[in-house]
Amino acid sequence: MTTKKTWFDGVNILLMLLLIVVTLYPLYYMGIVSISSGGAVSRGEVIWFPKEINLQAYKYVLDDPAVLRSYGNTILYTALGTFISLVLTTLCAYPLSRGHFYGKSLFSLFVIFTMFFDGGLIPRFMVVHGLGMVDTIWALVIPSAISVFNMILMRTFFEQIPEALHESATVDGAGEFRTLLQIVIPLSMPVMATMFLFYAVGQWNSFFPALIYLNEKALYPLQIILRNIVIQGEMASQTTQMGADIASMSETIKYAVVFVAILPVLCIYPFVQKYFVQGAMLGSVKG
Amino acid sequence: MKKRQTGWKTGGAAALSFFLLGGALAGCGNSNGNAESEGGASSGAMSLTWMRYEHPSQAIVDDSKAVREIEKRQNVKLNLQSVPQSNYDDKKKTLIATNTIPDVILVKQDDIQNYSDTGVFLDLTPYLDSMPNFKKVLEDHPEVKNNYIDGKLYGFPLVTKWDLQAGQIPMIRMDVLEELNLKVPETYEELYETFKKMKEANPASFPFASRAANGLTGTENLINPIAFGFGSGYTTSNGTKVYYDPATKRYEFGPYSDSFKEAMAWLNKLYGEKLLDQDYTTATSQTWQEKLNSGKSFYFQDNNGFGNTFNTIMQQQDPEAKFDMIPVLAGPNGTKRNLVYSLDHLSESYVISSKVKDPEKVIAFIDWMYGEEGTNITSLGVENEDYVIENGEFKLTEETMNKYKDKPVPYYAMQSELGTGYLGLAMHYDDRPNIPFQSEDSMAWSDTNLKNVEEGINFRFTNDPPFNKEERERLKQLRTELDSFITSNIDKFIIKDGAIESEWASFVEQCKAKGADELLKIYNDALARVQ
Amino acid sequence: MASLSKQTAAVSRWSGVRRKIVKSKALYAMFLFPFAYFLIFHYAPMIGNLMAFQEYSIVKGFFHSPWAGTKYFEQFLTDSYFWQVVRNTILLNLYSLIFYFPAPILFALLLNELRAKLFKRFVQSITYIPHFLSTVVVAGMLVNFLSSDGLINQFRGMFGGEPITFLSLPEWFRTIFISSDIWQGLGWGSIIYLAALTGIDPTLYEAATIDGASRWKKLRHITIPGIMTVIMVMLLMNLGHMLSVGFEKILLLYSGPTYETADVIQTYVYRRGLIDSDFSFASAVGIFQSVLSFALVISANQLSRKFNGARLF
Repeated sequence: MTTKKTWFDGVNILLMLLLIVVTLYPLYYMGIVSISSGGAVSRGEVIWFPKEINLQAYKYVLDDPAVLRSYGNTILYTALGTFISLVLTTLCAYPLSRGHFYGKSLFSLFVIFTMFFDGGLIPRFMVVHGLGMVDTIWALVIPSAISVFNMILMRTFFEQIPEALHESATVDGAGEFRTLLQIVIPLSMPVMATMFLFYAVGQWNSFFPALIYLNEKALYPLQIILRNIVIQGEMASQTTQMGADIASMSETIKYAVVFVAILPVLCIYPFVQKYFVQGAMLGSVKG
Repeated sequence: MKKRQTGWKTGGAAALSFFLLGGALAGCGNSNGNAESEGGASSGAMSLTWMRYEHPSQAIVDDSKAVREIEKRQNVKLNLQSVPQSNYDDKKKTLIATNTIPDVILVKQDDIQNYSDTGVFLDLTPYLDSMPNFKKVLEDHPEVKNNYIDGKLYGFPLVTKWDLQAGQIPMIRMDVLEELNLKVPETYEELYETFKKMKEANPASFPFASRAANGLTGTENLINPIAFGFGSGYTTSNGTKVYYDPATKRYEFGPYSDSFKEAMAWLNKLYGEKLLDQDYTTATSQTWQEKLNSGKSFYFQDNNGFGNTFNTIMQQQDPEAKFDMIPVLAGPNGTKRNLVYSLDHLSESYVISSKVKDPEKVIAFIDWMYGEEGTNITSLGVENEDYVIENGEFKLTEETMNKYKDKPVPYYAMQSELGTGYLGLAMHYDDRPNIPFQSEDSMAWSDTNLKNVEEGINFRFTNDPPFNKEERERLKQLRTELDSFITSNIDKFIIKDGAIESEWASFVEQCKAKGADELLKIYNDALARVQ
Repeated sequence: MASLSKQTAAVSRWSGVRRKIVKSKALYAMFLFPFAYFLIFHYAPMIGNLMAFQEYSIVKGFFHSPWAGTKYFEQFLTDSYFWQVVRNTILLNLYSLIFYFPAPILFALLLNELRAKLFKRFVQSITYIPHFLSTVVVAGMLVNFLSSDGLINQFRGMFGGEPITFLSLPEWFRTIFISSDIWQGLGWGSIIYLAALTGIDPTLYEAATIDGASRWKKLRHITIPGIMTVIMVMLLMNLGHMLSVGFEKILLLYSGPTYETADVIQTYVYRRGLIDSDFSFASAVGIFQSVLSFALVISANQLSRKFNGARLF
């Protein structure tokens, strides 16, 4: 790449800085609110700096044993769910990316059709219930295992791998499985990393399946517990006298909850970033 | 090649450590032990799955004191299934629609109306004669008759034995009135003048603030108390655009009356002169509180209980700041009335699954819950351990007060552990444990409100009468259309200058065309059936 | 005799097919699992779409509820608000396509031009955080910032502007909705394009430099064509959403005055569901949306096929 800096670079950097400010300010605002006192926030005193700093909101959130337990649950569900999703999606995308897969168009349609037509909540519940998966971890990781959106993206990337590589693998005596494992996947690390990210985050943020399929409070993931806390300020059936009492802390707690929920996910990205390496394919073609 | 292999290794290691971490965390919070199923109860004990929503302020504890006492005294093991309130409806509807509800589940009156004819809920009517406690409750709370569907009762409603009376009462900053040497306004017209003076002294303020609450939009929650105070009304508690008028004892359609038009004109005046929060249509509870706490607004006509909260917060900075209740304001034709909340929660009932194994036993247990012992266990705790009754007065024991006084909200922390209260297990709810935590003002306000109910100044929100199937079908259609029309058009009469003069008449015409009369007829017919 | 040659032809056709099937047998083995998954968890529940044609009763279930024919479809299609909500849904999606869709692409391209690796990583990590904020939190912040005395109006005040009550004005709704979508989705949405960018052969760039190509030329002739397939696939999939919009955010931001631009199909159905649970109606509307979206995607797919071969199926 050229090393000459032009005015364009300057503008680009300026743009990025602007973007950072616009993105960060709301997050900064949430941060200072979460460490200010409820009273100060309620009085509208917190705008640019925190006031009456305390960690009460975080304490309130983390003291709840349900929060800690659900944190653990979510980590478990995310790990398991992501793994299952990656495996199933790959097993779906790879065959559909191979030109000689007989019936490819038909199967593609079969899969894509489900993106548009859905039985709905009730029928799906009945299927899950019928399979005995209600109130188990499986209801959270299997019914939503394959996202057709993700699968199509994966397939698109797989299709871009030159046929020459497949042929040389076949010549070397490799079957489809080995080709997939030893050639296609290693070459597709950027998309695999992306899919990992998409599925992991999707699973981390998901709350609706857990809400519907789980009855045991001990199995609840983080989002259910946290969502309830966040929405309490706007709860529809605020009872007469009570609605008043917990009022003051609600905004600070809401934002403390936000940070508690997103912290681990923020850590995943830098970890995944290193797979976004250019020229991954280059070596194999030459070699 | 090597690079990729290490990639796999680190990836695999990370996944593994995720698993372990997850398992560890999941395990460490798990002290409760959840082997609930068959073997948990002792011999002869009945095990019931019991589902209700959980309000985030009061966590539902699986083995709270109430649960333990119930097992001890009634030999019933409650298997609590709590669902976060924010999404309770989705879960509840899914379970009902797939006929997989637990033994006992808390539902809304709407759900009973919609699904009673499906046979998913147990018909309670034949059992009522064997329930002495509940029958007494029926006598004390005659409004329960609105819960009957075609003469049958399907749900055990949440009734209140004692609670603070709150309502949509005029609350104003007394200190600001004093500072500006203003007298307490006695009519809505005087209130308007008061606002003007307040605005002059504080140009950046918007004296009157309102919010969206209790399932109603910001607009509905604003117009309701004002229209009622002027002699008309706007919506029912679930948002239907008719209201029950205690003066005529029937349902009326607000916009048909002149008082309603006057109320809208008054609001329009306020909005135009920037005396009313300019964003009232999207005001949330949060933004509303901020305005009132920070001196941006000085008046609200909403749950007076908040006055206490605001005072506490404001007085941290300004010891003089104080919200207080003012006497009912008179409307232009002399009407003097306020809306207050119902003490009971009759729109919420516990239903029993028709698939339950021992219906008589369950009924007997629930009757106990409505009796004195059951009420006390699920509302107050255990006598002499958690509370004492001295000379007929309720008092919390020393150790109970000390146990909870350091928590952020002591009252809820206590109720959570005891399993008591409206947000806990109570079906017949006695809120006296709240008294020690309330300020003198709150108690005084509640007393005033109760007095005014008796004097015919305060009127409680009522629930809808029961509708039959055809009426419900029609209501669905009518309400979707009419409600959308009214909702999208009503605000312009408050916000736009001159809209009332030019467009009111045609607005009312269109309401009529979209079925306002039919809506009224359905409601009044249904009302007549229960009277 | 003619039948014999027909038979031979048939046999050879059939054996041709058999050969193809045998060649793909490993692929079939792989595809078996996803196939079963879709069958069980997506196709089986589709029987539930029968609800749209029935007077669904819980106790009677799918197979015995009385038949209502197209009653609910008619109800929906003849509803006086039908055109308004469908129009709003489509317009919102159209604006989204025009403004929101290109944003992550542009961002990815700009990011790609950044030389300082650390700065690039920093920007990436910051910009993708908003994606994780729940809709409730974002809506809450919007209400806060857009109020008459909120940040945005204070800003305008500094330049002498009068406060605008953004959230009660229908003409502002779409702008607010799309802008907040862009704020939330820019960073996250760019990830897939960045992944695509890594797949472009760097030797192409080197060759172009040697040929004296400018940055713009490289962009136009190497970079963009390199990620065009991904862009087209994403576009096609977005078209599949033309008839539905993320309604949770709308629910939290709209109000009576803004219904005329903000009320979409989903919010309308939601309000109706609040009044009285109506599975059959909701089902019928759902099918309406699905059929139209599917038709849209199929046509777009055919077009795309002709133009550059990118297609969904």
